[in-house]
Parts: sequence; C-alpha cells; structure tokens
Amino acid sequence: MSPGSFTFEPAFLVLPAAAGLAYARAARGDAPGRWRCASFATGLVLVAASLNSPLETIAAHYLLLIHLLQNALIADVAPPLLLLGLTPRMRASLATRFPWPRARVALPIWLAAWYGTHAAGFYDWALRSGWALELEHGILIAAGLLFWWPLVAGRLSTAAALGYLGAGFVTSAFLGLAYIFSTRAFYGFYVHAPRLWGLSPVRDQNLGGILMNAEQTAVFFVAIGFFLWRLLEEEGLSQAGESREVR
Amino acid sequence: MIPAVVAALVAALFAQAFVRLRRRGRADHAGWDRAALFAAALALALVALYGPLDRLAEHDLLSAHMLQHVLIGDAAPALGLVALRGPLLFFFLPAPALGALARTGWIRATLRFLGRPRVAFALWSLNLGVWHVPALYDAALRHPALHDLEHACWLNAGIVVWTLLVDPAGHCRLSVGGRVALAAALFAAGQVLTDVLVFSFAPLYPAYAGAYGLSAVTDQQLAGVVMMAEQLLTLGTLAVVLLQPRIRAARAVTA
Repeated sequence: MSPGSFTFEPAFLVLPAAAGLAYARAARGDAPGRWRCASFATGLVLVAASLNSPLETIAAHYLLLIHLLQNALIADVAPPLLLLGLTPRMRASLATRFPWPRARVALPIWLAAWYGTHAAGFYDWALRSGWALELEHGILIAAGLLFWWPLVAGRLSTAAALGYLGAGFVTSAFLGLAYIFSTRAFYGFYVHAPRLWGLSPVRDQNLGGILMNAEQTAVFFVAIGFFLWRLLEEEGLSQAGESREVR
Repeated sequence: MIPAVVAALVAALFAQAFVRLRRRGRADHAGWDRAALFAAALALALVALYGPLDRLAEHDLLSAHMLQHVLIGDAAPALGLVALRGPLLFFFLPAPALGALARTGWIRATLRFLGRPRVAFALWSLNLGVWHVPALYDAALRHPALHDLEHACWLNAGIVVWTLLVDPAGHCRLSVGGRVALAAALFAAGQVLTDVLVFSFAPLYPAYAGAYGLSAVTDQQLAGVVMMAEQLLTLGTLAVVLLQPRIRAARAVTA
C-alpha cells in the first residue's frame, strides 16, 4: 500500500457524522455562536480526517511517529474543541444524560487510557488486528472527553482547574519522554514495517516522543494560560469589590 | 574559594538574625525549621559547587552541569528565601548596615527596579538564554573567572525571581494569581531551553563528549530533563502551596 493512499476507519466516519447531525439538531433550539460552531466542527474534522486519510495509512503501516501524531490529535486536541463547541444548555443536557466522573476520577481514567493504549502488547495487537485499532482510538477519544469535561463544564474552581491541568501535564509527560530516550524500539510491529523517509525504528520512536511532548506542552500551556488569566481576572474583581466596600 | 567565603558570611548573618530574634522572645518567627531550611539552602549550594558534582560538571557531563546550575540558581535561593520570610529577613543584616542601605537612594532604586515582575522575569530569562549560548558556555568552562561570574549570575537571577515568588518581606508586589502566573512564565521560559536540549539530535556543547556510558546527545537530553524536573519540583511546589487555600475555600463554598 502506498503511503499516499487513503485508509479508512469507518466507525470514525459514522460517529463524527452522527455527532454533527446531533449538534445541528440541538443548535436549532439553542443556536451556538460562530466560534462554538467552528470549534465543534474542527474537533469533528480532526477526528474524521486524521483517521480516514493517508495519515491513517502511514500510521497503520509505516511509522510510529505518525501514529503518535494521530493519537495526540484525537486524544488531546479534538476533545477540548468538541466540548468547547457546546453551548451551556447543550452541556447541561449532556450532564444529565451521562454520568460524567468527577475530576479526581477522570484524571486516573485518562492516564490509564493514555498509558494503557500505548503499552507494547496492546499497541502491537491493535495494529495487527485492525478492528482493535478502532478500539484504541475510541478509548483515546473517550478518555480525552472525560479529562476535559470537568474543565469545560465549569466543575472546578479556577485554582482547582490549574492544579488539575498541572497534574495532568506532569503525569502524562513520561510516555513522551520514554519514547525520546529509548534506544530500542518498543513495538515489534514497527520494527518489521517497511521504512519510510529513511527513519530507523528507534529514530522514528524518538521523533514520535518529541512530537507528542511538544503537542502536549502546547495544549496544556494554552489551557493553563487561560485559567491563569481567569485567576488574575477574579483577583482583580475581588480587589475592586473590596475597595468599593471600603469606600 | 569565593563561594565558601560568601556562604560562611551568609551563614553568620543568618545566625545573628536567628539569635537576635529568639533573644527578643520571638522564637515563633525564628524556629528551628527555618534554621534547617536555611542550612539546606546553603548545603545545596555548597554541594553543587564543591562536591563530586562540580568535578562531573566541569569535566564530564552537561547534565551534571545543568543540575549544578539549577541547584545554585533555583533550589538554593528558593529554600533560603522561604527560610528568611517574615521578620527574620529584616534582622538578616545588622541594624547599622540595614539603616545605611535604606538611606542609600541608588541601592533602593535598584532594588525597586529589580523587584518589578517584568524586569525580574526578563533578567532571569536573559540569564538563562545567554549562558546557554554554546560559545559562552564552553568559554566559561575554560576560564575559571568567567565560570564564577556565570554561577554568580545564576544565583542572583534566582534570588531576584524567587523574592517575587516567595515574597519574604510581605511587600505583596504580586497577588497570589500573579505569583502563580510568574511561576508558569518561568517554567515556560525554561521549557524553551529544555525543548532545545531534549529535542536536538546533535550535541550543542563541544566541551562535552559524553561519559559514563552516556553519549553526548543522551547527556544533553538528560540535561533538559534535569532542568524540567527541577523546575516542576520547585515551581510546582510553590504553585500547590499558593493555590491550595483557594481550592479549599472554593470547596467549602460549594459544600
């Protein structure tokens, strides 16, 4: 199979289409603004396009680097975009229909999914069996949604959100570092896969770690920056309130 | 030799402040925990500059050199300022010296200038960037005087930013949010260097060719991780300490 050819994960064509339809229906009674629509649509496109394109071909047949890029996009970038695309009423409706776990439960679930799906046995099995690859991607997307829900749904105070993000950033970083510092390939599948772009299996893995680390740093820094800005704004408001009381 | 003399002087100043406060019956502001913290700060700096770490840093491993820098430029100032916070800080200098300093206009103006968060952040980042330029880094390894200057810059840049973060004098130049934001900004700035070191596949510092089974590139990547881990530990601890009361308060409101 040529690296430029398309490979599909049908489940991730059907699910984004269904989510898009549900969103459009909900939007009839509760019109989201332009930014929310764009955010939701970008989240859907990221999921559908990264799993149904030449990216999928390269990830599933050639390079770990591209597989890790795919995982980073669907686990770290798409979920917050999807959740940010929901209006408060949509979120309230989702909150009543689904038992979203609390932050202290969501974080360990997300970490277990993050490290568990990248464990050598599972990863090789998923790549060889095909359908399990869809399971792997489904787990990553679901875990990403669970992780970002407490932040987007306003279930955490600003200070707690910062602590939650800090804990997530630190505890998830070890996987990327393990890839960066590895001197032997972790996944047998990629050792025997045809090589692309002159990358050896170990260099492919090292680069994948770098990409994963850089992507996570960028996503978490944006989120931490947002909550820091909110913390400063809250302090400004409370100071203004105090000075009004003094007057 | 110079660092040992400075450390002895600083230890003597702390001892006299500690004794003076306790003699005034204010052991609550000069507890043994403070003495232990200050001793730990001095010990960290001295171990970094005189122990086996110094030999490793000068001759063998970039990662050891990075550890040395973060100990003297980050961990030691942080611990020292935490130990000094409150009245101890004002007793640190003998009264005549403190009075003379307070009356000297240019010193006060300089300290006020350095105490501006943007100035402190810029100085710290500049120090970090400049001393990691490979040519300068290698030159410092060849010239002991330049190397001493490099270490003095690390220590002073650390003192400037950690004074804002710990706020030992209670000046409240920054709110809690401002301090957490400064900590995040310092981490982000440090992360730039960390990423350069961790993500490069070629050695950047010719003076280090790898040792103890580590290749030059692995040693360099390890140096990046050392910096990130140390910053996470020090700045992360600070953020937790600052944010915890807020998290508890928010929980109490929602409970």
